Amino acid sequence: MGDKTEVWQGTLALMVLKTLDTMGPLHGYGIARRIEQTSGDALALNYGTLYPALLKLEQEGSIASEWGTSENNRKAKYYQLTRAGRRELVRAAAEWQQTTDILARFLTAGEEGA
Amino acid sequence: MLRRWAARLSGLFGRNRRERELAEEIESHLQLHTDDNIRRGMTPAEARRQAVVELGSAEALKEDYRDQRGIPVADHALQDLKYAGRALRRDPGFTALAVLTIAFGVAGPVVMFTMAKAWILDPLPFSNPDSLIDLRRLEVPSGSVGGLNRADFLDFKRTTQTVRELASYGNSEVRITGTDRAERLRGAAVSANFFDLIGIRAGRGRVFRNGEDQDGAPCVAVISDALWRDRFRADPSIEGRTIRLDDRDCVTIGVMPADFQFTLLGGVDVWQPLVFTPDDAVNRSRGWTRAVGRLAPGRTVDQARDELTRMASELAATHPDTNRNRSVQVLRLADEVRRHHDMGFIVPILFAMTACVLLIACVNVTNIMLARASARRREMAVRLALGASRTRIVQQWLVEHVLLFVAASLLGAGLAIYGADWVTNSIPLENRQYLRNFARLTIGPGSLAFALAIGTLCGVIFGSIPAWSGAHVNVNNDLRDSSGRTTMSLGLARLRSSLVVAEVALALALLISAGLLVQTARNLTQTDLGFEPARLLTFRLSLDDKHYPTPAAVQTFYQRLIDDISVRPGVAGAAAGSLVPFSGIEQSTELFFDGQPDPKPSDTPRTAIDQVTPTYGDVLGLRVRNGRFLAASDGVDAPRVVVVNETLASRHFPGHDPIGQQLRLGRDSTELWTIVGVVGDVKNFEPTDRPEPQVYVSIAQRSRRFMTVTVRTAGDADALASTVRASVATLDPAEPVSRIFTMERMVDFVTGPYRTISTFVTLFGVLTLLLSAVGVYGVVAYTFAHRTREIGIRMALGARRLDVATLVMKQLRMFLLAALVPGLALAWLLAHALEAMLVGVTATDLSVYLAMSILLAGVSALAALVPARRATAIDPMTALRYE
Repeated sequence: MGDKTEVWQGTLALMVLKTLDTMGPLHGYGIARRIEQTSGDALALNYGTLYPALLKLEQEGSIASEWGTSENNRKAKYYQLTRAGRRELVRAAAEWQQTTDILARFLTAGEEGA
Repeated sequence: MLRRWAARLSGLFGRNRRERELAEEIESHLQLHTDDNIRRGMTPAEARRQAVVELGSAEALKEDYRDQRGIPVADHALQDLKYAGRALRRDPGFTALAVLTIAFGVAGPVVMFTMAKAWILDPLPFSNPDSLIDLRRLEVPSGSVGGLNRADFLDFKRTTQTVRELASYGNSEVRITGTDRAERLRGAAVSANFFDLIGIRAGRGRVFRNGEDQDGAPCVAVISDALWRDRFRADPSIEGRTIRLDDRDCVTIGVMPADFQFTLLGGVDVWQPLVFTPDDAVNRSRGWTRAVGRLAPGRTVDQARDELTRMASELAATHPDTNRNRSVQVLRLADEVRRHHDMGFIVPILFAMTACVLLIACVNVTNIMLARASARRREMAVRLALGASRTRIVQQWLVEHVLLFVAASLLGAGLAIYGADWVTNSIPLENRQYLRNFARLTIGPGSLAFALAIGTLCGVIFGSIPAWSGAHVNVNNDLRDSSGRTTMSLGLARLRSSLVVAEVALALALLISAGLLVQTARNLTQTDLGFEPARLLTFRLSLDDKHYPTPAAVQTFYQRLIDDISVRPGVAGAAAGSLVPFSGIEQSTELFFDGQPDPKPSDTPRTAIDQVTPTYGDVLGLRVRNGRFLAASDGVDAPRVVVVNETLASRHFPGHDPIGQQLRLGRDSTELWTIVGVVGDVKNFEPTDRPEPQVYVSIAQRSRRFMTVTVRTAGDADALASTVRASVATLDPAEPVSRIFTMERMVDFVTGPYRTISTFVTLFGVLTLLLSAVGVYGVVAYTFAHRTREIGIRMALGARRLDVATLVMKQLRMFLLAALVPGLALAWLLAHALEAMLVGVTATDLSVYLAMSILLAGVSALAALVPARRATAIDPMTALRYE
């Protein structure tokens, strides 16, 4: 996984929420794969950290889980966004957007000044 | 946020289902991933392997997941608790031994705490007890304390500004007659405001009203709940019922609540108003009363003491004849009550001693736990290697030990119930009435909380030692040790040795204190009382002036009674006296010498006086030193004669023969009494009494209605109780006999507390001796278990058994020497704390210190030799092959 970027602290939850928002109900493995694909395989997701993150989101009430069957007939736990999760996603996305904007402006300004 | 915590909290429960669900989810993840991998062309085995690798350690994931799910510390604690329970169950021998040891250790302090709480710490059960004071007369030069003079009391009551209200009270005896059998009851006379002042109401009916204690008021009485139940069969219409007390008709106005007790009065059956006569208001040389007061709002005890002391010195100035040396003692009532408890000041000392026992028990268990810790090093090493953190391991050990201690302290509280019963039962019935709640002790929630608190505290303190050592394993070394046996690190060995040294030191201190107290009890029971206490039965009679109006009638009754009892079977002799030793009666008079000017009242010497029948000297076994005892010939019309004791003779007639000298007894008396004999001193109240002057006169020459009859029996004194009752009944069926006790029991009322304490400390002593022996045994055995090989080599090289024994003794000597100095120092401290209790032995009694040191050394040596013998019994070849 040499030059792949590790998932930054705190962004995993946002990625999970966004993934569920676009994809609808999905199981843990599906979420992990989707995040990797979306990032163009630039991100290395440690699968082991995904499940505690899912649990945390579930405890917060942003997602709900339910056992179901996968497309190739495997039993799997499906996660889906709750209404509170959708609100949380909007809030977190806005916040993230703001942060990256500031950071981008900051970095650009730095270049100009140099 | 709240929601997450609620979810986490609920995550603590339903743990199995969630655990299973997680495992399923992981499995599902692996399957989906494997399917994907296969689709990408991997072999199924490789596909699965890749999936597993990419997921990472499933165990670590589970651990992370669990941390997120519950509250980690609490979750771990629950887990540890289960683990600890399992570990303790797996080793039932250790668990039982440890729990029992600590339980016995905890029970002692719990009983002490319960005693201290019930008898000393709990506030008095009166309203606002902090503002209640006790007021007494204080004799200035001697420091002796007694009741207030009644005239003084009335002056104080009238003029004090700091004390809002003063009430007087005192003990009395009341004879009840009527439909039921005649009985002598324990009475109390109190001023009408007494109950209101302490804030106690009657259980039914009412207490006294103002004016009911005035001279000439109609007779009223309040009775105790016990009397109401026993004698009046809980008659619901008791209010207003007329009862016959001391041949007067008195109206019962109320019944006190069952739990009411004014300990300074002891048990009381009948409460009557204390009536002051007109003479009481002016006579400052007689008439005494005890007093209790309620401080004025905002006033302190110190202010009251200052004011009343000043008033007392003003009285001394106005009435120098009587009040010159008189002051007052003012104490908070609670402090006075505490001062009267025999157990009051011993409780802290016993507390310290039981705490020592607990410490020793804890040290012992810690030692065993350390041994277990080192035996479980491999287990710990494995757990560390598998990724457990050291914190987790310490936490887990700690939980295991705290669990052990908490379980033990619960058991200890259970044992304390028996301990408390035992304490109550070992207090003579007669003494219990002066203890709060009649000496009953209950192991209540307070005691239970105390047990749990000390249990947890000891668990944390002593549990952390092995926990710390258990976590400090060296993974590499401990796993590599293939011998299947474990070695004890040098540090651990040293720790265990110092624990045993501490234990032996504590045991030494405790044994020495116990030795001193046991010696005290022995001294007390072996004290020469000046008479023969064995096979002596005593009882009280008090003839009233209606049926026995004249001194002659009284004298005739007692003489006929003595004659009647004397001839009954089983009786060796009978006599009556007004001041029988240990009967609790105190009687004294002023002493004047013929031919000398009368000194001032405050300087007049006093003497105890015992009015007796002529056979008294023989029946009690008094020792005549000079002249003769009183005889039947010293009758009403014969010349007045007196027998004095040795102290009076030597104090007032030093160097002279007192026989033939003359005395006057009492200020108002002009009669001259000629000394005809000198008898040995008698202990009247306690075996520790200092000798005081005493005189004996015949009741024929100085009459008295209130007497204690003493009967010397041929056999068991107790068996004659019915005989003497029958004898009294034949002479006067209406005359109640009270307080039938053997002399030995009466002596026991006084020495009982000492004996109780002595039994107590003997128990502690034996316990500590055993515990420290076990401790020494444990450490020596452990060392030897690890030196089997070394000993084998030594023996193979020609060492004899004796040499090996010397090796043990060397180790033991090191322990004992190290324990000696701190042990003796602690003993010295403890002994000085209990110095006031010691009788006939000093706090630094060399023989006790020496005897106990030798005893401890001997027992330790025995304990050390057992493993030594076992070690030397091994065949050298076996020992060498061992490993």
